[in-house]
Amino acid sequence: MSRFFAGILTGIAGLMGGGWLIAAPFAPGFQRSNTAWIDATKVDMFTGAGIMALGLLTLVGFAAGLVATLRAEGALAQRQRGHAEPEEPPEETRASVELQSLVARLALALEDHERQQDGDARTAGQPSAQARRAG
Amino acid sequence: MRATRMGFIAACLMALAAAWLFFAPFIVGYQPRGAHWVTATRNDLAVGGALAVTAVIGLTTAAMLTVRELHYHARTHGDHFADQGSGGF
Repeated sequence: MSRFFAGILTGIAGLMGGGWLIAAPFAPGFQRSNTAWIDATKVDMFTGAGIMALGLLTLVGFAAGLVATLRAEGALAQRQRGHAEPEEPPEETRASVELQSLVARLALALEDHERQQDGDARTAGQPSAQARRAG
Repeated sequence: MRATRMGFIAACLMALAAAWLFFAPFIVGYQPRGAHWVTATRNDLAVGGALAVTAVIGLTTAAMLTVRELHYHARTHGDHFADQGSGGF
């Protein structure tokens, strides 16, 4: 995660450096006011504006990466989307639901089978499956 | 990650712009040859040099930490992350 901080610091340095370059021709005073811009002023102004824009892009890019990583790790709340379709349950959940229904069907079948056996035994005069199990 | 990739590209371009600023006084010609450096030249050399060094250090650090993170994920979660290649960018 610290890679994002390195990028964010670089972006901040770019913003500050670009801002200084835009102000520099007038601050140290190599550009006189009310006269046409000299070459040094033009270079500083345009390069400064470009560096500021690039610094902003760097800052935004790495900050967005940091936010996305924090969201993925659960440190930040997930973005809420309005009227989003309910998500499909993950594969693991679906598998466990299928397993549960299979076990339930097996249990029902076993119960039916035992009932049937009890009925057969009663007609033949033998002890029922439940009585055998209890004995 | 697209946003982080954009950040890497912007930082690269920033380093190039800073390098241009460093050499601009001599390329554009507002620094006379053989004369003492004028104020504009001193300013451009200082700011351009500082920004270029900062951008290169920031980029190198970010790239190194990204590679280290990918290695760590590849070791802890198998080859899945390594197969994603530039997933960390």
